[in-house]
Amino acid sequence: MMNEVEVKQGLFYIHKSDHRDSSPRKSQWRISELEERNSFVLMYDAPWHTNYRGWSLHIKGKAAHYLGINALKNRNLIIAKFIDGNQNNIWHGYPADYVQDHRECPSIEILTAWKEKGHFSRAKIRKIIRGQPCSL
Amino acid sequence: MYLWCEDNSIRIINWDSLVEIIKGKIDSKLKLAVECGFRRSEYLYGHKWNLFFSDDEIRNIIKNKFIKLSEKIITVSQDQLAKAQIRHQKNPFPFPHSDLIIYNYKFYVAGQKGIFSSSCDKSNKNPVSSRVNEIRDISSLSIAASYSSLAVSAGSEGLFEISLDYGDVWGLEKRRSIKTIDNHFRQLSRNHSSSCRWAYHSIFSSSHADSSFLADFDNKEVENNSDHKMRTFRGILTANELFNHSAYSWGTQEKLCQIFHKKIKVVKYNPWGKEERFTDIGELDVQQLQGNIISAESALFGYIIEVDSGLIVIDSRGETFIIEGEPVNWRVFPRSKYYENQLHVVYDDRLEIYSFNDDYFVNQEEKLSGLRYSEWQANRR
Repeated sequence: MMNEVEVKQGLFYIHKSDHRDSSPRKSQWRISELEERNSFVLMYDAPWHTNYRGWSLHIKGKAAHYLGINALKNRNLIIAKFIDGNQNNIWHGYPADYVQDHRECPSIEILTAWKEKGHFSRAKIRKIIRGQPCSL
Repeated sequence: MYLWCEDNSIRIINWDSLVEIIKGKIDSKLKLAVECGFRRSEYLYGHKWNLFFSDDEIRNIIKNKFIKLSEKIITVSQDQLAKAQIRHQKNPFPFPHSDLIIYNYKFYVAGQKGIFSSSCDKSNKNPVSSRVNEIRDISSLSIAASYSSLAVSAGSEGLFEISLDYGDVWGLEKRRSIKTIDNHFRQLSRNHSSSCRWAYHSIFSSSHADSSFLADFDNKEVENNSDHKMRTFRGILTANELFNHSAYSWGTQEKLCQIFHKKIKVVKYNPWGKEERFTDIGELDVQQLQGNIISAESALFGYIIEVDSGLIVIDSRGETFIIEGEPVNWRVFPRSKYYENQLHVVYDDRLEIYSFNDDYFVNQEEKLSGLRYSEWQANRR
């Protein structure tokens, strides 16, 4: 089941159900679909994306908050990853588990931007870069 | 001391000058403690002091000097630090990095963009040469050097080893169980690897996502050449095989450790042993362990465990010392010659330097927490 929403003119976002229905081996969102789209729009506008891949956060005020849980359901996740796989302005996303797979980690440039905006402290940026668990 | 600054520069501080500044702030009766605490960690180790320390009176006098020094918090100001500064140069490496080491007068820096090196042999105008070589373009989380090799933790890509020697170094040792990518680069395991440390000639890989493991090696004389030894791969031993349980584990030299249910289980590793290569030597209670384990290290003075809220040091007497507050970074120097007793902790606004000196008075063969001091190994450094 996929639920496609036009978030801006010509820019579409698909909510993938397997990241909400406890599918095995899939990380799960713990925020609403509206919050998921807000996170996507934040990524798109910032811009925190390159080569049709982007990363974002669930921000309240200035601080980042948990947005999902890993596939094994034993670790809260703090970063969302978004992909425009067909390069046609139709994106989808999921909570990224950078501890399990460090390729899910945002680039240094994006992490530096998050630190400068006050979303993460230096200590948390170090943990993310090293693939270490990071509590908020 | 190299300070890696956020503006992509490096400040190089003359450590001896810094210690002189510290000495100027304390009673002259504590100079022995300052020297050993900050500049000569090796001085009070070794058999030469056995007779001396067997005298309770002398032992207590020395201990008291360290206790008195520890009662004083010594602060070095920015101005004083500037006076001890040798140079402030541009950082030639990608920053922030995930890990950084010095080995054979070279810096090795690991990060998302790969592994890079540059010399720091004092032959250049800049203490860290601006001529940077890309060693490999593998995105990596942690590196460790020994036996002319770099161990590389590459997260979900596994554990790798890069030879820093010339020639076909693994020509004699191309085994099916190791994926040799080229003459200087091989994958030891596809298992997830978050960080790595050398356990003598073997490599221990810690993981936050999967089972930690030991890449177990022999180090034997080459046939017809007794002067030359070669590391040969024995196999991978998982945490489950080493500790009978899978949980966050780490290992350096002879101590392999695992944290489980507020306890640290310690297995002694003797890679030269024919029968007892792994011996369960006991458990340490750490009631203060709460939340995620972020990382752990072994030093001579004990174990250092990072949790969400800060650092927990279990010293070699088994006593616990808590350092509250989430650090930006921290480091111990177990492979150094003079700074084995130090723990450096970086915060947003300061660097804190701790010196742990109780290990001089602990039986090195019997201790459960911390690495054993070995004169033979110290002399090799």
